[in-house]
Amino acid sequence: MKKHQTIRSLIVMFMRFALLPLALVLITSSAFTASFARLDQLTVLDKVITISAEGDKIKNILPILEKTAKIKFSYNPKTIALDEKVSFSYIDKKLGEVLDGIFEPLSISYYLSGDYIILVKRTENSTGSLETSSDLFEEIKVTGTVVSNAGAPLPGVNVFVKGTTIGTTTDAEGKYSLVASKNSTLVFSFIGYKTFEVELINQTVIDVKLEEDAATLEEVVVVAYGTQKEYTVAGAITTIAPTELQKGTSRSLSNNLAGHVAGIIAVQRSGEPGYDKSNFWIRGISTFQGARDPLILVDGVERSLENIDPAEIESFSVLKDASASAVYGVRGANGVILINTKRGKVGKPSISLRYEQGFTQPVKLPQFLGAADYLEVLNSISTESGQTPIYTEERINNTRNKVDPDLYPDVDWLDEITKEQATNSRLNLSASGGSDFLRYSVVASHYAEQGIIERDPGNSWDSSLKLKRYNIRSNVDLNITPSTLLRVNIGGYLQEDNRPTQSIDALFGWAFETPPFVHPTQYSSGEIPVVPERKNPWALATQTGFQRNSGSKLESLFSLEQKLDKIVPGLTGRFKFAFDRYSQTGVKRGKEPDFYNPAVGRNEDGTLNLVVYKYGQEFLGYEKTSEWGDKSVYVEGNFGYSRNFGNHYIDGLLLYNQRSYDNGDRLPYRNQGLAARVSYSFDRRYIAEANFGYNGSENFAKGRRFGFFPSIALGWIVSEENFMSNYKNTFSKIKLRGSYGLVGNDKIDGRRFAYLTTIGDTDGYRWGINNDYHRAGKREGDYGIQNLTWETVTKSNVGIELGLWNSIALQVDFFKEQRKDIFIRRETIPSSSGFINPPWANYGAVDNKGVDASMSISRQLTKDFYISSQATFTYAQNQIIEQDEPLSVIGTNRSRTGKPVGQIFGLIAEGLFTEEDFQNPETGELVETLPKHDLGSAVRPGDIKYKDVNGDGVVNELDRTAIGGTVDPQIVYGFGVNMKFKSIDLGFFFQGNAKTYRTIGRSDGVNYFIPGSGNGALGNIYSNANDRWTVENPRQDVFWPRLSDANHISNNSQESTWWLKDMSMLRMKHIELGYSLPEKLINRVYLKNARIFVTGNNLLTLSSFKLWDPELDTKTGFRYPIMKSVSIGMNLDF
Amino acid sequence: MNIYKFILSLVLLILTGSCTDFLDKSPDDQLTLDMVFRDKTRTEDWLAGIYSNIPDPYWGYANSIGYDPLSDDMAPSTRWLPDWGWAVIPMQTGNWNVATHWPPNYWHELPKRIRSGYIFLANVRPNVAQKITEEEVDNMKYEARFLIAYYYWLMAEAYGAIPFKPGLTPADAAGEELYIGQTPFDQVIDWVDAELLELSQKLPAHYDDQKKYGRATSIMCLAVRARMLLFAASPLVNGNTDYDGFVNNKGEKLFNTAYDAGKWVKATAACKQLIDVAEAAGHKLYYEYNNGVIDPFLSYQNMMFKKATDGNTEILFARPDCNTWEYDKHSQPRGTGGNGGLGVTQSLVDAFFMENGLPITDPNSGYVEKGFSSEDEVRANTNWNEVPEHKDENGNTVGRKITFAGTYNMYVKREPRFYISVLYNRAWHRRENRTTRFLIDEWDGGPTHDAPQNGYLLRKKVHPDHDPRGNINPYRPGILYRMGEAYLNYAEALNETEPGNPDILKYVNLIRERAGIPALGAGLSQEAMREAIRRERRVELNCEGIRFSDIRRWKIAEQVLNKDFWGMNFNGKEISDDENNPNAYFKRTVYQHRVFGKKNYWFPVPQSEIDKNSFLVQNPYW
Repeated sequence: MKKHQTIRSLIVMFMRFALLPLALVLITSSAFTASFARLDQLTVLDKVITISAEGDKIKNILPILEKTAKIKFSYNPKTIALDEKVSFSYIDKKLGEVLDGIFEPLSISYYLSGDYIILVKRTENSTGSLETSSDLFEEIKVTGTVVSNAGAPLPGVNVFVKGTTIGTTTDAEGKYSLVASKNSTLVFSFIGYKTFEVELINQTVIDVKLEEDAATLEEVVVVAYGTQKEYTVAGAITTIAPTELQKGTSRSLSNNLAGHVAGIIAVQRSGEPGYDKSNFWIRGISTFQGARDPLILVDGVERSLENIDPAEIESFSVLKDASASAVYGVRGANGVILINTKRGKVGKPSISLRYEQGFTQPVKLPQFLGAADYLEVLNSISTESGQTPIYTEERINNTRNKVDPDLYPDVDWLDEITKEQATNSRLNLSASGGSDFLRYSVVASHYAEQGIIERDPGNSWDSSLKLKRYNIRSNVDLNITPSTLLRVNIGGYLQEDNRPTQSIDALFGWAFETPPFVHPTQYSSGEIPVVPERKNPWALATQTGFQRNSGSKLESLFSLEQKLDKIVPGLTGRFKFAFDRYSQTGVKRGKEPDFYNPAVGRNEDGTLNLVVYKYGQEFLGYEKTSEWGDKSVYVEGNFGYSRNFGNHYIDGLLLYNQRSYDNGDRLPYRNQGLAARVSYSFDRRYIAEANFGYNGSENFAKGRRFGFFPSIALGWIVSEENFMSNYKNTFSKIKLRGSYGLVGNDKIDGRRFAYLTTIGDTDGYRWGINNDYHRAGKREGDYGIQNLTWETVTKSNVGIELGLWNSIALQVDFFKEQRKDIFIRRETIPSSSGFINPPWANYGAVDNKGVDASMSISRQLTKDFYISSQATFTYAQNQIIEQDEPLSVIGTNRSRTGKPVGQIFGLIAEGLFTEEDFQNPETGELVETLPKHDLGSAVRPGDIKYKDVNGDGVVNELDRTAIGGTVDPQIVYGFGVNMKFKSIDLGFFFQGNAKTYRTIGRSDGVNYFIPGSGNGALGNIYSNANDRWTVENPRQDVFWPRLSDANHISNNSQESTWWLKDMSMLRMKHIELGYSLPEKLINRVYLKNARIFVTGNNLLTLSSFKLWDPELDTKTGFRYPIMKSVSIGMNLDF
Repeated sequence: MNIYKFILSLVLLILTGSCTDFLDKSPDDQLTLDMVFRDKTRTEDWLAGIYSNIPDPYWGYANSIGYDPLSDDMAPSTRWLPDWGWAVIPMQTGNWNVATHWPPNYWHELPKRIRSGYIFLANVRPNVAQKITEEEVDNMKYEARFLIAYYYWLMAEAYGAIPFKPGLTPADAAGEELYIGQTPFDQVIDWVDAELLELSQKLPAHYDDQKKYGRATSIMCLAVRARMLLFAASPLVNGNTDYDGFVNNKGEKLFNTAYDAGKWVKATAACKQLIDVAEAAGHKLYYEYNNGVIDPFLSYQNMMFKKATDGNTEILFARPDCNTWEYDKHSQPRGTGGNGGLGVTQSLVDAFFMENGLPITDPNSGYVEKGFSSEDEVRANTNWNEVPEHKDENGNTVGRKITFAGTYNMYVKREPRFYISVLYNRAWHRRENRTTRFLIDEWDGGPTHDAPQNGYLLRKKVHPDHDPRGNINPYRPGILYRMGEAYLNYAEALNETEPGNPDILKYVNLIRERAGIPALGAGLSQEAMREAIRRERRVELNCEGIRFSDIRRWKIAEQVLNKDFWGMNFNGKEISDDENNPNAYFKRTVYQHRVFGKKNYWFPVPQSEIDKNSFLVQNPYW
């Protein structure tokens, strides 16, 4: 349908250039053509009508006739003169008579073909009437159907007799009919298809299949503030088919970007419902401060990507280079994503329904030792350090044999707070259609997801983790006049969730923190135990009430588009107004149960010896947790210009916009700007484009608010050159392009109105004999610095697009970005100066370079077997050029300058100490050739040996240096295959990343990662604990070094290459098997298409790292896991 | 075509920029420096901001600043982790280098308060409308100057030589004003000394307005000055040849390495001056009486809990608002709702005298370590209600049962201050109406981290009515300087300048009298007296954040801290003192090996600062 619409508008454009006024009439008159049933020839001409004219032009009469008689005219405007004026009056005459009367004097003959009355200039020896013309020896009537490669009827195809001006176009069903001399040649031409010629040789029925011509297909691409013909684009833009975004059952659209879109680096760091979106960056990270997120525009308005349902999306474009994004100026530095929502197309109502029901499970949860094994590890640590074991054999045996689970508990906390599996489901319902003057698209979606957090069914209230989202979008296009288009979009969503009162990530953290033997989840007598100040994860997950939150968003858009051809041909004016409103509310119904200290034994009567630790409450409390909203208002006006002059094509844009975003801060955030684009192409071979943005933000001092961001791009379509014509079959497309330009970023973190000096808040103080005279504490804040401004990025890009053998498309882009003036606090001001906050400055600089590429292959191998394959690859590497690091650090092992943003630092491990390394293993005194290890605990054999990087004879924190790479991957890739055999289809998609690392273990708040290092008070022990160094088995190739208690762990728990793990992974993100029901079957129930499918997501993950899902953002494995799922679903099109 | 024209004009309207002032927005209501000092509340806010770095003698000295655990007084559970705010625990064991984060980070934080003080001095002005008088402005200026001087001293106390440049550095200062090296220790002391002395003549000794309690006074100036000059006269910085060759960027010695007896003279005078001024203002030791006799238990306990308006004459410098909640909670046995892991060291337990005033090492002291008492120990001269009353045969209350039969002998017949400061296994816990249970797997015991790691919990300054379950935490001011310390300071200084001066004995014995132990006799040598004063100081001022500086300035920290630390057996499961029984609780057991080297006398200059400022030199031996 989309293609239909595109082609239609192109024809219209063509005709307008040829004979504009007539075309206008034709467009108007052709309303509702598609919806008419075929009429019988005789019935049409016998139809009785009344019509009169008084010196009217023929072209004005035709529409009236069309309306009155409900017919349609078809003719070649070049041969039929319609400016002649006629006068007549027919009352209750048959149409045939009327037509004879009108056309006879004008030497026009007509005949009926399908719904059309075809007008032909009468030749010398032809007579006026239909009957007679068919009798002529020279001419015959030819009919037929034109279809596409895939067999779909092609409407609007030009069919004409070679060497003459006789011709027609195909109707909505691809049918045509015309009169031609017997031995002539018919030419079928249609934009985007190869022109086809056939000799008549007495045939009267000629069916034609047109082959698509990839090189000339006039695809349009969504670009900044509009669309552009594909071939005229010289910037780096990636698009993704919306259907690709529909794969996967996750709530967040962003989870489908990695590997699908060349140029996007994306990672999903959590699977928690409502918080499972991916982090993504266009061409990687290129700043260490301030916003890194791309600008996301939905229907041209800055909006969020996450809560759009994929079913709402019509196009998805990623603007990667300066040329594509310079018009966004100060907002474009991190790249731009443009999403357009679905719009209606001319045609009968098309309704489709899609439903998916999925069953989810964690991809991977960490595994732990049971309580008895845990206690044995603790005892072995005591024994090894020469102390007596803390836990008796009796206790260990009782635990192992589950003698009295109240006193000898063995709890897998992770298991206690999670369920085995959960579900999700998605329902999409969409309807679209319309006529030439009104088109609509309506999409409604429902998404529901259950989480894996356990609830206690004994409670009357429900604390389970679940999320629901409803999306509705209605887009209406209205042609209020033939040249005026009004668009109204209304979209929105409501998202609701229910969850325990505790943070989910915290629950996972506590499940790791709480050892398996300290107490059961709940005593058999009902009391809930907890170690003071520690947590009972099960109780916190299930016994502390629940909270529910809801957020809703309304997105609206009103736009008017006026063709201004009357003033300047090719000129269009547009006006756009949009407002968005988001609001959220949350309610917490919390409680705390009574907590008891863990039992210290049983009393004589057999009851547990318990003391209460904290009194709780019986009832649920009530608290409003959030009441928040924001709004934004956007206004835009622009002029677009687009015109061909022979071989020259010019496309231009001049735009003004402003946006105000108010989230309750002191002042709304405001932006204002001008943007312009001029694009020129010559003979479809040479392209030049210039863009600029001139815009500003209220955040900077007057006079420094506006910045100018220009860019240029050049392109050369080599395959269109004459010298390439012989290789057309091999190289269907070769396009070289390059761009260079400037963009900015005004989302500088941390400081608004940086030109103003502020007063800061600090700790207060209390005076008074009763401690009752409180003063809040004030001091200097930030210094206002007048000349602060946004950061700028110079982006350059060279790319090549190749089309091979009409089946392979390859696109490769190399890029370099140089960001400077990054807004940072000066790092080199000494503390002794007393400045509260070091002053801000536009000081930092980061370079970022890389390559992104995509390839697609598609082949119809046999009539029944179609296969296609896609692959993408993105590599981005950045480097900090300047971040005001002290001069004495630059160049040393500690320097971050010259390293990537987020470079991991740590010590370099050189294996484990052996007995030979010590003068005295008991005191930890090393042989003299080894550096002293001054990391807080005396070393022993089996501890990690580090390199003295700075050569000062001591290993300490100053020896930390760059190890591995960065946490966020530098390489993201994906590949997939889709196959269709008859009515069965199979597709799969793999996504991977590489050059991603993590030092596992020590992190904020977690220093008990290494087995036993939490002294038995904290931390679980991973099930691979036996893969460790012991006195009996002093292996070097172990996972764990010598184990020790909290006071002796600091040497081994340092971030170092020992704990540095390569987190690269390859995941089968998606596999889908579908079956389309036979047409015979479904036609009976008025279905156009019915397909059932089963899909799997994240079913297979390959990584050298085994303890937990490597993609999770955790150093200990404790995060809500990413889910794998199996879903069944169906797709119905009416 | 109307719509045609309409749209055209609309687009043109917008393109020509009808909204040229769209971005002309700035928060014009923003608070400025000028507005702050035109407003009484905001002016006081600013002053409060300067005050706010006055140390918190409760949770500050115990946890974040950590002077008590860093000395040999306090023993937080070794199983508590640095992640829980116990950054000082690794520092106890020598896990400490130039990049270690010390939570209060004085090097970084105090210069900000000092700068804030100078901005206050430059801007504060009278405000008739809001009744800020000229005198009040002057007084607030003196307060700010006091804080500036005090903070310079706090820095010098921690780091020794510091970058020192009094005055207000302009925001656009050039490099040479910002990048400065350290000033020799004595020069900073001299400046602070002069400043405090001058301010002590300007600030009042008291404020009549009770709402001003806690604001700087002349007595605070003199108290800080007395302790500082005592420090400056002590061996660490008075002729310490270890610091030969350590110079700043200008080649000046960081510390004077030649002994100067004049410093003791100066210290003696300062200590005396403090006592004179304070006594003139009504300060003296705090006493409670029982039938007209000093009740040493209640006197010593309540000296920490009573407010000045309740008769506590002892307080010289208090921080009104402290985090007593965490302090109390961490010291309360876990079986009573507390965290039960903040203890005291065995060496502190051993430092307390016997009831007869003799140290346990004295053969005549009557100290018996092993075994268990056979009967309740009753003391008649007290009404200390934390232990049960003792009734005679007639049913009349006669004193209190201080210990019960079956108490480990180590804890029997000790001086009153011991019982106020230490909570040992099987001591009475009044609020819970039971004795403490520290054995492993008992209510208050291990093996959890929230248990007394070395067999003791802290009792000093822990309010007996603190109830974690009931969220009750009685108010008390945090005492930074008190009369008892002033007496001991003077005695110590005087013993250095005029050994044998009767004032020495007088002031030491005032302390001993209040503590309920016999007075020291005359005739001690200077050496013996020095020892006696240090011992008395150790006991009297335990867990008040003073000991760490004392052992540093006396240069004995390497002997006191660099060794194994002992306690009772954490893993003990039986009430037994059998040395050969691994399950015996009451036997001396090593729980921690402490490390203290020459470098540890001063905190290191943060490496990040040396990176930034090449004029700085690292502190000796780091």
